[in-house]
Amino acid sequence: MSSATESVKTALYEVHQELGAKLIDFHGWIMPVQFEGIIKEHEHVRNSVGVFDVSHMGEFYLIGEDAQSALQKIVANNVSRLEDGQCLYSPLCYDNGTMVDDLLVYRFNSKKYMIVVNASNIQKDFDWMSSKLSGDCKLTNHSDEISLLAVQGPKAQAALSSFFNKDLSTVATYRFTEIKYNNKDIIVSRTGYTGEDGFEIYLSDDDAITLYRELVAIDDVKPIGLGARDTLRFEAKLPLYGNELNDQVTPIETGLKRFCDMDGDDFIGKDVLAKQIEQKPSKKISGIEMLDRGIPRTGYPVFDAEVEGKQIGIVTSGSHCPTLEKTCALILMDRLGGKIGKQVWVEIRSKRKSAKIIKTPFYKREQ
Amino acid sequence: MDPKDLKFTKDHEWVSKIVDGVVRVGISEHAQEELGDIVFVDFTEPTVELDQGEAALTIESVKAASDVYAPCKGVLCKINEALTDESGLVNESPYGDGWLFELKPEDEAFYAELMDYDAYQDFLSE
Repeated sequence: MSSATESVKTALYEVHQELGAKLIDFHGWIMPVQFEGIIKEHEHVRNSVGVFDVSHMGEFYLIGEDAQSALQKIVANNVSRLEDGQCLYSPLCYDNGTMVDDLLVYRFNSKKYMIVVNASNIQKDFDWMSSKLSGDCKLTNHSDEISLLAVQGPKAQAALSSFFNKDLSTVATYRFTEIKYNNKDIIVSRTGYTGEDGFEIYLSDDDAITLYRELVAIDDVKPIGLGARDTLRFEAKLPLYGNELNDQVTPIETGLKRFCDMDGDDFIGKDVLAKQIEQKPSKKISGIEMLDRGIPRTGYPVFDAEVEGKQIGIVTSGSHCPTLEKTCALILMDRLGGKIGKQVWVEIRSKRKSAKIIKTPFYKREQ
Repeated sequence: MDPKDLKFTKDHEWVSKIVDGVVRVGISEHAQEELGDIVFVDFTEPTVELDQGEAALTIESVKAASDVYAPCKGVLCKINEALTDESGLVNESPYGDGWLFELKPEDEAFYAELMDYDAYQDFLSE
C-alpha cells in the first residue's frame, strides 16, 4: 500500500524500464506514462492491439452467504440481475448521492464477488464499504497481490485467443472466464477503458511479469502507457474519477443514470438520486470541440458566447484527440447551459478561445 | 543547428549565437522528450517587448501546457510560423526546424551567463 512519502512500484517496474518507458508518479504508484509516444500508442490501440499495466487498480473480494444482498445495498447498479461470470459497472455513492468511486463488480456466484476500484480510492472505498456491509459476508483487500493487465484494441481477441490457444470470442462483453496460465487460474474479462474491444486479465504478480513479456513479444502487441489510456478513454467519453466524477457530483449529474437501478432495491444515496431525476439535475456532462486553437485543460471555465460574463460550465477533461485530429473537452455544464451546436468560449490562459457544443462520445468504434 | 554551438538556460531552452543583434531560441532535446507529443504552440504575436523570464509562448503537449520564457529582456521579433501547422517539428528537430522564436536582446551581456553544451549536460545529470 502506498504511503505519503514512498511511491509503490508495480510488479512490472523493471520490465517497463527495460522497454524504455517514461515513468511518472501516479497517485503514489510509479507507472509508465508512455513508451513510444502518446499519440503513436493511442493510434496503435485504435488500429491493432496494446497491453497496459494497470496493476495499481484495487481488487476486493466479498465472500459470504449474504454477499449479494449486502452488495446490492451499497452499489447503485442492479447486482441481483448478474449471472455467474458476469461483470457490472456501477457508481458507489455516499448517503447524499455524491460519488465515493465508480467500480466493476464480478460475480463468481451469489456468495462470491470481486470488486475492482480506482487506484487512488482503494483505502477510502475499502473503509466505506466495510462500514456499510451487513449480514454474513466479509470484504477483503487483495490489491497488493493481484496484478492487472488490459489488452485492448480491434486485434485483442484474435491475439489473445491465439496466445492462450483458447477461443475467447465466446466471452461476451462484460463476461469473464477463468483460464489456466502457468498452471494457475487467471481471470479474463471482456472489459476495458479505451472504447475498443478488449480484455482485462487479473493474475499474480509473477504471472503478470511472464505474461506481459510474452505479450509484448507478439508482433502486433505493443506496450501502452497511462497517457494513451487517458486520451483513449477521453475520446470514448468514459468518465474518470477525479475528473468527471468526484464527491461533489452524483451519477445523475454526470451521465451515469443508466447505471443506477432506480426501480429495484434501495441502495445508499438512492433517495437523493430519485429526487434529482424527478426535479431534473442541475448539471450534466457535455462535450465541446475547439474552433480556435488551444487545449482546454481541467478546471478551465466555459462561458456562453452570447451572454457576456455568463459561465455555463467547467472543463473536467480536455485533450487533443489523436483519432479525430481535433481538440475537445468534456465539461460539467449547467443543465440549461446550451444545446448541441451552441457556440461557447473557454478561458485559456486569460484568452477567449471559441468552441462549440458537440455530440458525445467524441469517438465510437464501428461495431 | 549543432547543439554544441548553442547556449542553454536552466529552463531547458537553447539560445543561438547573436547574429545582427538577434538570437534564435528553442527548447532542448531533453525538454522535448519530457514534454512528449507537442500538439500546439500558442505564440505571442510579434512585435512585443518581453522582460527576462516572461513567457514568450506556451507549448501544449498531449499531457500539459508549458511556458517558454524570454532568456533576456528584449523584443520578440519573429516566430516560427511553420509550427502553426506542424508543431511536431519541435519533437522531431528541436535544434533545427523546430526552433521557436527570435529575440532582439536589449543588452547582449546576458549571453555570457548562459551554459554551454557541456555545462548543460552536467546540469542535466545533477
